[in-house]
Formats: sequence, structure tokens, C-alpha cells
Amino acid sequence: MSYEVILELFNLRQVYVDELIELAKQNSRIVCLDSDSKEATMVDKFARLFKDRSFSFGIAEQNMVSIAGGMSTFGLIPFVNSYGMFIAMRALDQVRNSIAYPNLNVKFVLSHHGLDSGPDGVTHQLTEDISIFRSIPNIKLLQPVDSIEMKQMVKFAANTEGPIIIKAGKSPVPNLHSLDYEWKYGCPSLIEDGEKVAIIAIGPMVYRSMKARETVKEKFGFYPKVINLSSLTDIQVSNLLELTEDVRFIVTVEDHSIYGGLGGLVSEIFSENRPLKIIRIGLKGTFGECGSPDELYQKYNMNEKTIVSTIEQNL
Amino acid sequence: MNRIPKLLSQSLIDNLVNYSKEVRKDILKMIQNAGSGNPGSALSCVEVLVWLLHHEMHIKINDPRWNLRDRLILSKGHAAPVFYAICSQLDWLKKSELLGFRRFNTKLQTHPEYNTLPFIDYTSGSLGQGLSAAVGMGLAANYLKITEPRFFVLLGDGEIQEGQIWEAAMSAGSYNLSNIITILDYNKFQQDGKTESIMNIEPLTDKWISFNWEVKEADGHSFQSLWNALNSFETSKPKLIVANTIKGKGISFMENNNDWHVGGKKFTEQVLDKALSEL
Repeated sequence: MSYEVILELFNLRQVYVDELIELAKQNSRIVCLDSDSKEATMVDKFARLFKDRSFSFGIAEQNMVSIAGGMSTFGLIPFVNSYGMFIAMRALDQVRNSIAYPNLNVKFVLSHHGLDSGPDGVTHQLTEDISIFRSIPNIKLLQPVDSIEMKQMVKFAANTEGPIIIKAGKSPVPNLHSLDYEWKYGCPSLIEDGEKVAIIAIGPMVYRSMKARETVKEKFGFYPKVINLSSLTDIQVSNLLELTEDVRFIVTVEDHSIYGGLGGLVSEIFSENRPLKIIRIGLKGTFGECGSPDELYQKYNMNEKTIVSTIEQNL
Repeated sequence: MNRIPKLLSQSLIDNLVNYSKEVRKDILKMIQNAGSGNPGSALSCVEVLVWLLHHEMHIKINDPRWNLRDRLILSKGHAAPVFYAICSQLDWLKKSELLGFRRFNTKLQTHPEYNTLPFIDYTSGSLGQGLSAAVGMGLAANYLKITEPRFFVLLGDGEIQEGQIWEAAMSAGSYNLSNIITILDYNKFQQDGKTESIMNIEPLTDKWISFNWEVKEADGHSFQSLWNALNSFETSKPKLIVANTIKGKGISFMENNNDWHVGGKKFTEQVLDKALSEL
């Protein structure tokens, strides 16, 4: 498969809302909450179709999160929609104490992650949520890589009791899985097989890793594996160990801080189970700035070139 | 839903007074036994919770999860000992279990924990979140066309310094949630001292009215006064009863004495005996 061809791109927020609408047609307990963010999170479509099931709370995320908790005690399934930043940071106490601790059936679909938020700037570029959420008990944290995973994750969230957070990126992404791919919670997916090196990536960085994979083949004569770790909690460790059995080292790639993020997560797993060299690509103790995602990934050493040079340096 | 008020006779009031006295004894024993806790702020809301759970709330003693019941959210989660003591009077807990409060391997967590005991309608402890939960319950009930439940929320006065309370007040007023009945335990103290000196919350009534609430004042230690306040609301707005209370109520050396916000080492068995002798 060549990644130079123009692939159809999908906006994951749109995919989410369309899937939620389908689920809501069959399940009247699904309701949608937003904090003056209907357009940004694209749930305005849901609100137009289900007026009595769409609740807006103004710019007040803390209130919205605890309200969702209260709703869930009546058997509703609230989907909370917001910029990720203002749930992960501003309403973190509410997420932990109002939702996760009592294990309430509340879902979060959070947009605007990392440098992918680009021109929105640092205050909207959430780069710490994986570190935060994966340390809170009862939370299931998911980052779909494409529309095929997103659809299945929304269905999973609606049908699985307990708090679930889905990260919906801003930039459109291509489908990296085949249409018959079955996503399973906790299972990493092998996007492309290879040898010597495994690139473990999430979100928009998976596609970039695929492009880097092509360059590695051209320059060094082999294909590295590309693994997508879309479940960021309850990872099936044996599955990940098996997928990486024959590699010399691992490169993790994330649009997030490497501290406690994907890089931290993978390092924890391998240091406990099979010590292996792991090089982490992502934000290293710095904030971003305004710019296009491509400009920012280049400046902060998170683009395809960095992935290739990292592999080269460690071969 | 229009309800016929539950009448409050003198004999009922006498019963509630007796219940309150026993609750005060129990919470003092629980907090002293635990070696820590908040006696002052528990003692100030005894009558409010005794009135709600023994009289006003529509609940089924034998079916605590009855779906049409009134809900109680102890947003002021550190008042949990009062709630636990009343639970034992309602046979939802064994009296012997009360001394497990704050101890290892018991259900009686320092702050109420949803699902640990079936009649706790929301987890609290992190102040400022309970009113939002009631808004969520009210909206859910409206959507599901369940008109019976009322949503009673107990707030502390220091607690309303939390910004989320005002987000919740705004949303309850905006959605016109008439079934929310909030009771503010206005004992005029908080952890570090007098509320007016820490962060003034006055003018209290005007603030809530401006958020589209209906507000009544009551003597928070008088069952008749609380009942009168509840039954004098006239609009379909969300409701607030400002219950004027005394921190440490019932124990002379604890009343209005913020040294008893927290029990701690000074709360010895001898001090407990002295306190119990006043009840």
C-alpha cells in the first residue's frame, strides 16, 4: 500500500455524531450534553434531531460533568461533549470524584488534542490527558485511529457500563483498518507488519508512522511494524508482547507529553515484562504554540522525519 | 407535582426532638471513637436531616432504591455521621455498625459513597458538586416524565464559595427545576473561622433570587419553622431554604466555637462524657 496516494479523510467528530444518532434512534436513554461547544464538537446535528435529549449548560464544564453524573443515576446514558482541555483539567475533580469514584455510566467524547489543534493555541492543545486519565480507576480511555474504530468505540461506550472517554481529534484522518476490522477493547492492532523495529503510535501519529515506515524501507531496506494502541487503559499485555516479540527496539509516537503518556505507558509495560529499548517521540517538557499541525510537528520533532532519524540512530 | 403537605403535629415534633437527641449522642460517639471528624458542622444540621428523613421525604424504609422516592444529596458530605446515625434509626444500618465510621473495612466512609450503601444517592466529599447532581437528576426526571421525586440538597454555607454552586444555581434557575429543594446549613462558620471573615457570602437571599430561585428563611433547629418554610413556597422556581443554625448546636462548649470544627485529640472520652451529659 502506498501512502502517497490521496486517501479519503474522515472527521472523527462527525463520524462519532453520526454513529451516536443511529444508536440514539434505538436507545432513548442516550442524551447529549455540551458546554457552548455544539459546533466545535459537532453535536449540533444531534441537537437538531433530538431536541429533548440535548442539554446545554453554557460555559460551565464542572457543572456539566456533575450533572451528567446525576442524570446517570436515573438510568440515562449521558454523552458529555467538550474541548478535551476543559474536562481533563478544569473539571478533573468532578470526573474523578463525581463520576469515576462512584463508577457512574457517563461517556465523554473530547475534541482538540495536542498539536493537532494547531492554530487554536496552547490553551486548547491538550497534551496531558493520557497521563491524567489512565491513573484514575474505573475510567476506560480510548483514542480511535480512524472512522472504523470510532464507530465501534461509540457503540462500545453506549453499551458498556461505567465511565468511558473517547478522544476525537480535530484533523480528518484516513481509514487505516479494513472495513471488516473488529476492534476489541484493550487489544492493540497491528496496522502493518514488519521486522527489527516496532513503531507504537496513537491517533494522528499512526498515519505519520505509516509514511515513515515507507521511508525506512527505501533508506534501510526493511519495513518496521506499525502498531496502533487505541485502548490506553486495560491493555492486553500478552497481546502487545506477542506483536513485538522479534523486534530490537520500540519507538513510541504520540501527540501528547511523553511523560505518563503513550511513551510512559509502553515503557511501564516493557520494563515489567520484557526489558527493551524504547525511544519516545512526543512533547518533552514543553508547551506548543500556534501553527499548523505540520509546522508544529516539525518544530517539536514529532514528524515523519524524526521517526525515521530515530530509527536510523538506534539501528 | 402538587402534593398534599405532610402535616406536622406536636406529637410528631416531640418524636423528631427525641430522634435528634439520639442522633447527637451517636454522632459524638462516632466522631470521638474515630479520633477525628467534624462535630461542629454535624451538630448544626441534625434537625434538618431528622426532619427530612423521618418526616418530609417520600421514601420507603423497606425499599431504599424505590425509583419514585425523593432523593437526598449531602453536598456537605462531612455531615455524613448525621446521616449514618439516622440510617440506624431507620434500620438501614445496625447501631453497632456506627462505630465503624472512618475505620478500615466498613461502609461508613468519612464522606457518603454512592453504591456503598444503597440509600446514598450521590457521592460527595469534594465540596460544591451536589447541587449540579440534583440538576442532572431533575433534568433526567423531566425527560423521563417522572414527576414524583423531589431533590433535597444539603449545602454548607462555606461550600457556596465554590464557583460550581453558582454554575448549578444558574442552570437550575435557567431550566426552572421546581423539584429541587436546597437547604443551606447557615451556621456562619467554616474550617478557618467565621464565614463573613473568610469570604463573605452575603447578601445571600438576593444572590439566589437573582439566579431565579425562590428563597425562604427558617430556624434550622425548629421543625415547625423548617416545615413552614417548605410549605410557603409559591412559585415553580427551584427552592432554597436558608436554615439559620448554630455550629455545635446542643453542646454548650461546642456552640459557636470553631475549635470544634474538627474533633481530634482534644475530643477525649472525658470530653465525650461531658458532652453526652448535656443531652
